Formats: sequence, C-alpha cells, structure tokens
Amino acid sequence: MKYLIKADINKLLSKKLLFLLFGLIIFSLEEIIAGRLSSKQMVLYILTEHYYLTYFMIPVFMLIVYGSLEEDREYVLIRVGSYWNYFKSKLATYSIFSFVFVIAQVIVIFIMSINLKNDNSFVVPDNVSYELISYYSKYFDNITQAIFVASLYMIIGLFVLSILFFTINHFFDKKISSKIIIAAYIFMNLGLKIDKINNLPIIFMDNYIIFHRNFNYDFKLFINILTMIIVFAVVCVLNKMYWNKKIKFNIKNIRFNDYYKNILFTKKNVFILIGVLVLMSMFSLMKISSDFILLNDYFINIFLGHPVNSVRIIEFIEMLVLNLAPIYILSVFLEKESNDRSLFVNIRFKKASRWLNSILKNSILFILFYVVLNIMIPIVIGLLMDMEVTSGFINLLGRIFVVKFLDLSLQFLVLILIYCYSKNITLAFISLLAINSLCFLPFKCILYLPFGISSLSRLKYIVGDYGLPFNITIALLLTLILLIFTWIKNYAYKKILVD
Amino acid sequence: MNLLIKLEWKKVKKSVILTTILTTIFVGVMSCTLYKSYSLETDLQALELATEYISLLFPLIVVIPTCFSMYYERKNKFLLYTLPRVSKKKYLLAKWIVTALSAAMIIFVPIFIGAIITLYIKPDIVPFIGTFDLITNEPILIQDRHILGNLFVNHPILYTLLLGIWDSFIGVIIVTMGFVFSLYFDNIFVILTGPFIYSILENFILSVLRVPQYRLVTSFDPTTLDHNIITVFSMFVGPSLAILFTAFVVIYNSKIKRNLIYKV
Repeated sequence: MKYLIKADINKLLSKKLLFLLFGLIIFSLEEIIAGRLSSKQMVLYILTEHYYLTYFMIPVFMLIVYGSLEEDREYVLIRVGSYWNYFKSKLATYSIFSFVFVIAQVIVIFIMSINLKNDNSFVVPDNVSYELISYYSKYFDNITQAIFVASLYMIIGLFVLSILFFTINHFFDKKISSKIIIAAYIFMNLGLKIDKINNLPIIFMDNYIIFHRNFNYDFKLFINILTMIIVFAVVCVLNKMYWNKKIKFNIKNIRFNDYYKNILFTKKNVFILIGVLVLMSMFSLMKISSDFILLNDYFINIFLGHPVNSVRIIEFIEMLVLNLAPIYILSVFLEKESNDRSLFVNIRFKKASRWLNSILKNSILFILFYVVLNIMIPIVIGLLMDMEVTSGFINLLGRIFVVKFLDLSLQFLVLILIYCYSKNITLAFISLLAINSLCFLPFKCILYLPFGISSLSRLKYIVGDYGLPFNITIALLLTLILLIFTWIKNYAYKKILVD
Repeated sequence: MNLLIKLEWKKVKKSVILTTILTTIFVGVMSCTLYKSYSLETDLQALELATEYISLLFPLIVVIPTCFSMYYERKNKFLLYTLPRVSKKKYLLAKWIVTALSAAMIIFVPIFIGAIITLYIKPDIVPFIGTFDLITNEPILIQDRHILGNLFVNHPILYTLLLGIWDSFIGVIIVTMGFVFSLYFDNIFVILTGPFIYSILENFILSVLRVPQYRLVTSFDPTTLDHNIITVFSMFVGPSLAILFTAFVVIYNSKIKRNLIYKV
C-alpha cells in the first residue's frame, strides 16, 4: 500500500504543479516589487486574491486531479486485498497531495517576499485590492493565525473535492466525470456573478476552498463544514458498501424519433451554422464605421434585413444568408432523407403521420437552435469587443427572437409544402428565393409579405410609423403557420410517400 | 466523339434552350424598363442595370439546366452501361464539353442580345451627366470612370462582345464546379445549389477580409466597384480561387476519400 501511495503521489506531483508555481511567481511579482505589504500580509493576500484563485489555481488543481483519474486496475485491486484498502490509499494520497499543493504555494510566496518588511498586523495601505485583508482583521488577532486557518481550510476543501471527483469517476466513466467537473466549475463562476445565490453554498465548490466566502453571514462556516463532513461521510459509505455497483446511462434505447435528430444535429451541420453566423456577424461589424458601438445598435444592424419596395442587392443577399442558412441545411437533410427512405423506415413508423411528425418536430427544433445561436454569437462578439449594453436590450432580444423564429418556421413550412407537391427540393428552395425577392416590387401591400418579415427595417418598432406593428406581425405569422401546418398535416404530406 | 457530343446535347437541349430564352427575355425586359428611374449617360448602362441581377443568380442559371443529367445517370446506374462501349475519360470529356458550351451559351446569348436590344430597339435615353469633380467642379465623363471606358462609349458592340466572352468563361468555371460536384456527391440539392452557395459565401468572406475587388461577382460584373481598384490581376483572382476550390474537391474526393464516380 505504501508503494501504491508513492506511485500515485509521483503521478500527481507532475510538471503541472511547477506550472502553477511559475504562474504564481509571475502573478505575485508586481505586488512584491511594489513592496507595499509585509511578507506575511503578502501570503494572506495571495491566499485571498480572487482572480488568482478562481481563474488559475482551481482550474490547475482540477486539471491535475482529472489527469490522475483512471479506471480501477484489477491487478492493483488484487494486490491491496479489498476495495476499501484501495480507497484508503487514495484518501492518503489526496490528503498528502492537497497538503503539498497548498503549502508549496505558501512557501514559494514566503521565500519570494522574504526581504519585505516584517509586520504581523492587519495595517495595510488604503487600497481596494487589500480590502479583504481588513475583513480578516474582524475575526483574527494577527496575520499568522489568519494564514494558518485559511490554508488549513483550503487543504481540507481541496482534499474533500478531490475525493469526491475520484468517487464520481469510479461510479461513472471518465467522459461523464469530466462533464461533471466542468459543470461544477461553470456553476462556481455563475455563483460568483449572480448576487445572493452564493448564500446557498452547497453546489458552489469555491465555498469549500476559499475561506473568506464564509464571511457573508454568521452560520455559513458552520453550514460549509457540515456539508463537507456529510459529503465525506457519504463518499466513504458509498465506497465501502456499494463499490461494486456501476451507474450506467442506458443510451442504447433510442426512440425512433431520434433517428432523424441524429442525422440533423451532426457536428458538421452545427459547425456550418456557427461558421456562417460568425462570418455574417463580422460582416455587419465591418459595416459600422465608428469605433464606439452600443450592443443594441450592433444587434439592430445584424437583423436589419432588407426593406420593402426598394432594391439593395448586398442587403438582400445578407438577409437571404441569415434567414436561409438553416433552411438550406434542412433541405439537404430532406433530400438525403428521401434518398435513404426505404420500406423499413415506413414500417417501423407504423403510421405515415408519425413520420411527418418526427420530421417536423426535429426541423422546428433545429430552427429554434439556429435562432438561439443567431442571438448568442453576436452577444459573444459584442462582449469581446467591449460594447456597452443599454436599457431595452432584453426587450429587443425578445422581439427579435419571437419574430425570427416564427418567420423561419413559416418559410420552412412553405418549403415542405412546395416539396410535397413538386417532390423536388431544389425547386422548392428556389421558389423560396423567388418568394423572398418579391419584396423588390413597388407596391405598398408588399409590406405585409410574410417572408423576411423578421427584417427589423420593416417593423414599426425600429423604423417608426412606416413599419408594421409588432402585434400584427405576430398575428399574421401565426395565422399563416397554422393554416399551412393544417394543410400539410391533412392533405399535402401523403403526396410525398406515394410514388 | 462527335456522336457522343451530339448525344449529350440531346439530353440537356430542352432545359438549356429554355433557360437561355427565359434569361434573354428577363434581361431584355429589365433593360427596357429599369433605366427610366435612373439618370444615365449612355445606352449601354441600361444593360448593366439588368445584368446586376444576373451576376447574383448566374451560378443557379448555369448549373441547374446542365448538371442534373450526370446525377441521374449515376443514380439509375446508366453510367455503368456506358462502360463497355466508351472509355471513362472520353465519356466524361464529352459530357463536360457539352456542359461547358451550354453554360457559355446561357451567359453569352442574353448579354449580347440584351446589348442589341438596349442599343437599337429601346428608345434612346437623354444623356445626363451626374458626376462632378468636387474641387474643379468639372463634369467627369463616363469614359473616365468606367472600366475600358473608351471602348464602352465608342464601340459598345465590341465591348459587349468582350464582356460576354469573359462572362461565359466565368460561367464555364462555375459550371465545371457543378459538374465536379455531380461526379462525387449523391445529393442533388447540394449539386445544383452548391456553386451558388460557394459564390455567396466567397462574396462575404472576401468582403470581410476587405478585398472586395477579388470577388467572383466583381470579376463577372466589374462595374459594381470603383474602376480604380480593379486591375487585370484582380479580375483573375476570383476565377482562379474557384478553380482552386474545384481542384480541391476533386483531389479530396478522389485521392483522400476515394469516392468512385462509376459506383456499382
């Protein structure tokens, strides 16, 4: 067992730990050179520094622990005798590792700041970044005490977490456990961003690592320690009593509905959509000449589309690409489906209407997915470019989302309708292009053309009195969708199946 | 070979001639109506207003009437029956020649007939000079701000002939792309709309990269941009990119993926 622990420790103390210490040195260098803090204050400062802990230390820790996770090897289990022994060796390994992990950082900082002044009190220069240190002064007499408690808390927290990850890996496979670990990290970041939610500490793991998270209210330390003990106890019990059970998700039992879903939601299709959207977002970013843009204006620029009664070729193509990208992929899918269709598929579905339902459901889902992407990608680009958000943004997003989704669904239903009667997807797609280009015509009633109605340049909300009111747009689209859906559902779809 | 070409021509004759006639009518009608709401200097500018639409749609117009036949021959295994009678290379070459010539015809005829209509049938326009130099306030004539300006004003027929031949050449490149798609892909929708999607995406990518003069559309219709940034070199970039892409598709499918044209 001694050798097992040694081997595991060797595996854990890898180059990643050196990387962590290297990062730590770079991170603390500026503060040490500035020399505003004493050497002990410096250690406490690093142990409480928000950005270092959440965006560097915890990810590196999770990376190291994740790298050490492995399938339980049979010959190891045979050598140690029982699974409980194996688990005990892991307990020892992870406790030693988390101890070394924290103490190494403390020692490195201490050595680096050795020629700073010697001061054990909480007197720090008046600066926002040292604010936390003065919080500690409410609970501790001197810095040494604070460092001791904070690092002990960190060691225990990291130990419990690594044991928890080990157990998760034992009961699930490595793929799922990686997803759980990533989800835990994302949750932690969400908990930091959203106010008050951190008061309920259980699923936010930074509460078990960073000591000053317990300052929020009185009982939080008690709750945290209690949850840690419970987690530890549960993990021990699970490993002692139920170690030979494996939890497996039974993925084999796919419903037939998912047959088309798997064809439609492939990585390739999703990448194509993302590529097109990034390209188009960059294109509209390029059109705006000024340096300072609001996110609202950027959104309006992307979804501006093409106005009616005029001819602007570039804007028109832009609208077509943004609106017809998912419909193009859906057309490719429909063509592929009609190529591959065989009697077996029909027999498995039993009823033709179920086949239709499956196609419609998955396609509408795909369109929904596209619209969400269409909104998310400009938001990400806008945030990367440091654009400012003004009020009314959520309102704008909501309107864009609803109109766009209904517009695209209608276009897709029309595509299916034409496809049903012509049995030729190319013809259907080209008719869709032609219908879209009706907006060039110089008649006033073309404003009510429901194709491409999601262009913001046709809505009253953006262009004022000239445009369409929002409610009428929605009502028009909904009515048409309902009509065409009933038509397809009751009459049209049978034409495809009958050769 | 002659017989083969004749045979292939029979297969696509109907659709090609129909498309040519429809496109010619479209160009004729557009160039006789659109010019009324613009102030123009020469008659031939009316044609340019009409060909603007053609430059957007030409990948569709060229590919759809020609490239469908290869797909159906592969699908219903007709292609396999040609094997004992004619070599693969010869058959494909004959098919490509017919496809390319049809594409050239579909592009060339509407432009040339459109030019004749605008020059001789349409009532003459009233010349209106709308562009002035900002500093000297002297009018800038169309000769000075149009590509091949002298030819454009003084020898309009020769200019259209040149433009038509160049555009047919680009049409041949695009139809070759569609033809290659039809050799390797099993989805007719992708075959028929693929070159169109290629031209649209290339258009946007090059615009985002801030080199709009290299687009295929600019090459097809050079009047869409300021004539100063268009050079002989930039006219050739768009078509060569398309040729490179086509070559990439061929190499990827034949060498890496090892897709077969003559599939059993």
